[in-house]
Amino acid sequence: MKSGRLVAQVTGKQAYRVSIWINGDRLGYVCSCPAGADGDFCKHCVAVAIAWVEQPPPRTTSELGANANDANVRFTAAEGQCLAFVYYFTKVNRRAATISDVRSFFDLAQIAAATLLDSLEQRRLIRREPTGAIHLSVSRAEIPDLE
Amino acid sequence: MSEQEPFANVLHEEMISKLARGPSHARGRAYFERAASVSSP
Repeated sequence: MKSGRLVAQVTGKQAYRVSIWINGDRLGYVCSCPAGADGDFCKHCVAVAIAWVEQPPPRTTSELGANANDANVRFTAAEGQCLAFVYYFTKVNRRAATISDVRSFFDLAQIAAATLLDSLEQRRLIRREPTGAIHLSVSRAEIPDLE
Repeated sequence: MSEQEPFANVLHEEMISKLARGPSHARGRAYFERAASVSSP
């Protein structure tokens, strides 16, 4: 990803250059193949889009927040806010938060919230019940304040 | 949160299905899967 754009080269019969970017709530895209020249979201665009959806790139150091250089940091600033939300939500509402609560609070799309929670769960920072209830697996001392 | 987030809000399977016409979706997925299988150990 470069300056908010996905830029990739897809090699078929020839190498084609694909660029995908956000245009408001829509996607902008261009591909150097003949179909792309006609304005189509061609198979090369599809391949790049699927690659991003299914294999999002690791976050760069600058995206990890203020403590990114600290080797002991277990989560990003954004993930810390999610953990803090889960902590305070549970305390205030006397019930566990669910993905709907996380989506609603941070105004996230379903896929963004699911990706965030999947990532936290894979690293055992949270655990989820089959009901969707989210529980923290980190101590209160590790969680930042909710901003 | 990060510059990936606006993409996550807009770029998802549903949007890909909406934009890709005809056989482009299946062909694009085939491209992706071929590339993924080559890059996997």
